Amino acid sequence: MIGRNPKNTAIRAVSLVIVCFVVFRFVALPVRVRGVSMEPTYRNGAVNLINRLSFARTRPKRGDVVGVTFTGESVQLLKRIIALPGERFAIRNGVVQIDGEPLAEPYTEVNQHWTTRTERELGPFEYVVIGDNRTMDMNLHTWGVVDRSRIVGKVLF
Amino acid sequence: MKKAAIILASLAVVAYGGFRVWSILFPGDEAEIREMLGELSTAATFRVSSKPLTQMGKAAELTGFFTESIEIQIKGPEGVIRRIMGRPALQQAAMSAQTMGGGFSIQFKDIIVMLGEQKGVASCRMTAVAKGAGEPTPWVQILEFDVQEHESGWKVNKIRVVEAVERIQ
Repeated sequence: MIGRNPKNTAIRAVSLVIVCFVVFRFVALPVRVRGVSMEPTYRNGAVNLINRLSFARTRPKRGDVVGVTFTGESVQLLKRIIALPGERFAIRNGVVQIDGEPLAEPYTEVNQHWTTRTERELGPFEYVVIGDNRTMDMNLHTWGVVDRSRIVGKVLF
Repeated sequence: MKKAAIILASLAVVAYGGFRVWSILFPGDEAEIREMLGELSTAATFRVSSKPLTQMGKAAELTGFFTESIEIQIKGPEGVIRRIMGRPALQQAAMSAQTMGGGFSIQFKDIIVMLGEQKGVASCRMTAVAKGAGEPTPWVQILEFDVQEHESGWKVNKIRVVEAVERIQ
């Protein structure tokens, strides 16, 4: 990085700063997990990156862990996509039902207290996102339907 | 060619500088509202105090950001909706909050200001990140403020919670 020629060193340093700025601003958004709603997959305090280009050519898939905006990108929800556009979604005794069929979710434990009174058919751009920690009280857990436009990208690791 | 580029770059810098100076000297409604919200978050952040005079001063400073008919509807960390109507009730709530716990901080992030068609009214949507001392994780909520312009500046008239996701019942 540091060479004998100060001019070249300056050019390398500036290039590095520009590359870091572009990557962390427009491609891989650094995030720190706050809260327990994604445990045990992501622990409170864990650091990760959200790939903003992950859905540039493909649509979000079931099982993807994604960042969802509030009113901007400073603070995001980190949740797993459970149901896709056009599907019918419900939870019966802790088991997610997609189009009336139970969904296998190896990343979480069944909590029989999680139940919805109604079934919801998702619109063309709607997704259901839920955290992996279903041991939490259903009413204390932020989950539900979000529009595609609010999904920033998929976590990198 | 090189000289022209330098002149162009200099003109751009001067134009940008002029714009910044103009924005500072003559802030628009949006800039004033954003400044008020920044000051409000500072006033709403407090450390626990047992001195009644300090509590009263802080509560009075906070209520100065709101209209007499302020209506607040907040959803707490336990999902319980709390309503506060009017400045006296807000002042009382602000004073009692200072006697409980070890302090409180709030920040407003990603503020979207929407100026009304009518002059002197606007609404703002933001992500509020609040944290009580000793709490492991912050409370995050989308809030919508209705603000009105008064002689003494912009004041908040209504605060309501906007659900971050649509819950399925």
